[in-house]
Amino acid sequence: MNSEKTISAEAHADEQLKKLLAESRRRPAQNPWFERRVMAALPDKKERRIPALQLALSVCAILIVVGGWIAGGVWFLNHDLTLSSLAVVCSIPLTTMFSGAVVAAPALKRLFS
Amino acid sequence: MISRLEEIKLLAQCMAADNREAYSRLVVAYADLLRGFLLNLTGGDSMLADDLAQETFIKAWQGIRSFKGMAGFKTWLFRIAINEYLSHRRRPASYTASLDDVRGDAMLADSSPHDDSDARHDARIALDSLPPAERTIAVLFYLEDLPIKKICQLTEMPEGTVKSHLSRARNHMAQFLKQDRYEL
Repeated sequence: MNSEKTISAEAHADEQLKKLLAESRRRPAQNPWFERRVMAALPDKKERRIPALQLALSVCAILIVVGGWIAGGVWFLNHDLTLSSLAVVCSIPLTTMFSGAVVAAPALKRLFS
Repeated sequence: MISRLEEIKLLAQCMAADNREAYSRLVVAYADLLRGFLLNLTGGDSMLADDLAQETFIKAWQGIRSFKGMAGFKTWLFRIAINEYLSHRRRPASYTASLDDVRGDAMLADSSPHDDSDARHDARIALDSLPPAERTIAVLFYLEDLPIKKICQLTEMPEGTVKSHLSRARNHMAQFLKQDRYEL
């Protein structure tokens, strides 16, 4: 019972204080130069260096994809439309998407983590 | 004020390409909010508030790639601002006013009969005279009207500590106002 009274008294005091302080709240003066001041003070970012391994894997992935499209296209033109040729046709875009994900993974990880 | 979608777009440009133009738009969107928060935190010292706000935006720019995005840019910005304010107060040259010092100055400045505007004035003086940690919690709770859980997130303090600071701040301010015959 006493703790309920205390909580109620505190809630009432909080309400009163919120009202008093809200009415006397300070507002900043207009300062049109503030944004320029901040932007002028921003340090230059260091050049981002892509790790050598990541660069090598990305280049390999791109070469595999381009090579795959060329080889797949030539193979498809020289063969009739069958289940196996359809499977080859579908695998090339899938490989492309997978390779794209590997290349973009670091940037996506930073964006969504 | 910008929409959440716009904010995400600008943040993505900053994180992926260090786009200053995008960051400039974020600064414009949040400058007044941040400056106002710091103005109340510093007890009306507009020069200090603007200096701290500038430092906050600089630190946010430097650490933008570590921004996780879970709590929103405003929350992250305010967290940096609070740390900047508390670091500033920890420096040896910082002056901390006691309740009596601040009250004494206020009484000299104004000797008119007491009314509600005095209560508001006194509430503000009482807030300004709180120690840094209590003042931070009090500004977040009473002025920014944030719930305890959000304050815990912003200050990275446990709930018990936040409630303890809030209780002390409430008692200080109530005692100060009681001296002017204003009961909470």
